[in-house]
Amino acid sequence: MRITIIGLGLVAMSDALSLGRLHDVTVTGPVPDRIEAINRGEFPLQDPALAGYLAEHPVRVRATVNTIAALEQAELVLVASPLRQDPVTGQVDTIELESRIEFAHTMCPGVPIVIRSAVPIGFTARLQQRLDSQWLICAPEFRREGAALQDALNPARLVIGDRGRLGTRVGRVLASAALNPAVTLRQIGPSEAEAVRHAEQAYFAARVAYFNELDSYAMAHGLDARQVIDGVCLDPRIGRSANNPCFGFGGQLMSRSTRQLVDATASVPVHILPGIDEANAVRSSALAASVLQRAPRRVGMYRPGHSAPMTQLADRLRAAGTEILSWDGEPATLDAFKADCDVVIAQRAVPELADLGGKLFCRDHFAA
Amino acid sequence: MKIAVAGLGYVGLSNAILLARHHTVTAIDITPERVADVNAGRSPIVDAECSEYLASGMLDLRATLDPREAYADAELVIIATPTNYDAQTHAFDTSSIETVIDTVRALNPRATMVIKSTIPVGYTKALKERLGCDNIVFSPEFLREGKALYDNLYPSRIVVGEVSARGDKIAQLFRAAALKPEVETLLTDATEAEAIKLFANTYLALRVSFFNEIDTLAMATDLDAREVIATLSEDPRIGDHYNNPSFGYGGYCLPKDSKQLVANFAQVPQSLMNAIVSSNASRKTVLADSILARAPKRVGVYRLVMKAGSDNFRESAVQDIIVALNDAGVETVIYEPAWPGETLNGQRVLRRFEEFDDACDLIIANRMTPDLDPVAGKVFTRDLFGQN
Repeated sequence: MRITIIGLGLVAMSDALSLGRLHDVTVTGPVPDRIEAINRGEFPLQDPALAGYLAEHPVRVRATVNTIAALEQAELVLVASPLRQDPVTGQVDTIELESRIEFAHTMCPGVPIVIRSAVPIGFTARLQQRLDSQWLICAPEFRREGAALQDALNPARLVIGDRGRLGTRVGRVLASAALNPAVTLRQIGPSEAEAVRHAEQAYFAARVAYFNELDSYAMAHGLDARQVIDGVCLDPRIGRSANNPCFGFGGQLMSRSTRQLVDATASVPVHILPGIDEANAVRSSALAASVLQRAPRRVGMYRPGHSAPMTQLADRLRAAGTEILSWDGEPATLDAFKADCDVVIAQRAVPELADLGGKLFCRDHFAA
Repeated sequence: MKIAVAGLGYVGLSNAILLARHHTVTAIDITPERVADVNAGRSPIVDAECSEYLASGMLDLRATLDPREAYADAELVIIATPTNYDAQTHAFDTSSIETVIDTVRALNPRATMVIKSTIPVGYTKALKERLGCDNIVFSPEFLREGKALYDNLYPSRIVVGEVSARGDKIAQLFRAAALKPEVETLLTDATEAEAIKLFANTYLALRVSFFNEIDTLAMATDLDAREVIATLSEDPRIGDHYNNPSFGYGGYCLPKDSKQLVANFAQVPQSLMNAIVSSNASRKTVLADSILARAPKRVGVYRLVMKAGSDNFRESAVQDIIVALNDAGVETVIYEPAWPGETLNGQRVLRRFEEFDDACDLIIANRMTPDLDPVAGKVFTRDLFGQN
C-alpha cells in the first residue's frame, strides 16, 4: 500500500525503512538536504544493521519537501515529526505537530492518520474531539538511538492506542514491518498508549538513576560499588541489565517522558516521578563533590561530545573555580591533554586512558 | 559439623532446619515456648515448610535455653537474634547480637560466628575492631515472610561478607544445604554485604512504588490502569513481577530497609531514595482520599496481613489507611480471622465474614480473594491482577 510518513527523524526513518520493504513509502519534511540524501539512497540513520538490511532488502522509499504531493495518494499517514520542548519550562510544544496533523486530516479524508510522536497524555483524545475525526489514532513508538532500525524490525510488541477495528487494521500494517510476523498487537485506549510510552521511558530512567545513586553512596562511603551491584543484581527480580553507573541518563527521550508524567500528576502527591526528574542534577552534584575532593586545578573532560551529563558536570566544576579542558578525539593532542590535567573525567573506561592510573575519574565498573 | 543457631524467629528457625538436614544443630532461644515447640516437632512460626520438616522427625536438631549446651562444642554459630531499627531516631538496637557474641567467646573462643540478623551498614567491621575479634562474618538473609525455609532451600543467591577461604567455606555450607542444584554465590567485603541487602530491598521498594505511582496517575487522569500496567509489563526489560498496584509496600523488610538506607545516605546527594520513602506514605493518602470520596459510613478492612500465608499484622500498609480514615471521622471495622483478640489498636476485629459484611458499607482490600467475590460491588481495591 502507499504510506506517507511526515517527519525525517529517528522514528520516521526507521518506520520508512522497515515498511519500505513491503510498501511504497513517501517521507516528507522541511529539510532539503535530508530529502536529497534519502533520494540518493543515503538514509540519515545511525544503526549498525542499516547497511546489511539494505543489501538484503530493496526498499521503496522516496522523499519530498512537498507535503501536498506526498499526501495526495496516501492510503495511510504516519505522523512522526519531532516535538519541540521549551528549554526553560520543559513544556512540550505540540502546536506545529497539531497543524501538520490537521493539514493531513483535511488533505486525506477517510485515510487513517497515525500519531507516532511522543505526545502528552490525552493529546490524541483531545485532537480527535476537536477535529471530530474517526480516522486519527495514536501508536506511540519507542526506539533507541543507534538501534532504531533494529527496534523497528524486531519489536517486543506493538502498542496501538485504539481498541476498535481501525486499530486492528493499522496494527496489521505496522506489524508487517517486523521481521517477526507473529509480533503481539496490544490495542489499548489512546491516552493509555501515550501513558505507556512515557512510563516505559521513566522506568528505564529510574533504573539508571537508582544505580547511579547506589554508586554515589559507595563513592562517599568508600565502598566497592562493583561488589554491591553484583550482589544486588544476583536477585533475579532485579537482574543485571542496565546496572553500570554513569554520569546521568542521556538523550532527551527519558527526561522528556519523565517530565510529561510529572506534569500529568501535578494534582496528586507523587514522588518517584519528580525524583527521577531531579536525579541527573543530583548525580551531577555528587560527582562534582567527589572530583573536587581531589582539589584539581585543571580537569580534563574526555570526549564530552554533546553529552548533557558531561556538560553539567563541567559547568559545576567551572563554577567551583576549576579550569576545564576538553578533548574531542584529535589523536595528536591526547598525550598533551593527559599531561595538562590533574584529573581526567571519562564516562567509560577505555584502553587509551588506562595509563592515567589515579588521575582518571570514571565510574564505569563493568568495563570489558 | 556441629552448628549452633542463636534465635528461633523466621531466620533462625529456617536456617536451623536447613542445616539440621546434614549437620548436628543445636538451636537456642530465650523463650521457653519456642524451645519446647521445636523439641516437640512443632513450628513456632507460620511457615508450611518449617512445620513439615519439624514434624518429619528426620532432622538432627535440638533446641535449648542453655548457652553452654548450644555453644560449648559448636564449630560454627549462626546468629539470628532480633535487632530493632527505630526509623524515627535511626537507632539500631543490636544488643542481642552482642550478648550472643560475648557468651560464645567466653564458652568457645574458637567458634566462627555468622551474623544473619539485620544490622546497620558498617556494623560488622566496627564490631570486629572494637572487640578485637576476627571470628565474625556477616551473611545477608534474603528470605520472604511465610516462605522462610523454602527460600533457604531454594535461595536466589548466597552472599558472604568476607573474601577469604573461610568465607568460601561458609558459602559452600549453605550451598550444599540447598535443594536447588545451581546457586550463585558471591564473596564480598563485610560492609558491601551489608549494603547489598539494603539496596536490593530498596530496589524492590522502588519498583512497587513506581507501579503504585503509575496507578495513582491512572486514577488521577481517569486511565485504565490495568491496560497501562499490563502493556508496560509486556516489555521484557520491565517484566510482570512486582507490578501489581497495592496500598503500599509493607512487611518487615522493605519499609525499614528503605528508611535505613535514606538515613545512611546522610549528606550524599540523592533524590530517588527519599522519593521511595515519601512515595509509600503519599500512596496511602491518595487512597484514603479516594475511599473518603465515596462517602462511606463505616469502612470494613479486609485482612491486615499483606499476603496470604503471612502472620505479620503490624507492618501492614493498610494500617496507615485506617488511621487516615479514622482521622477523617470514618469508623472502621476489621476482618482478620488470624487475630486472636477482640480489638486491635482500639479497632473492633471480627472473625466471621457475614458479621463483617453486615457491619460495613464499603470494604477495602489490598488484594482480592475468592472470599470477596460475592460482595465485589462494595470492595475498594487496586489489585489489578489478582496476585501478590
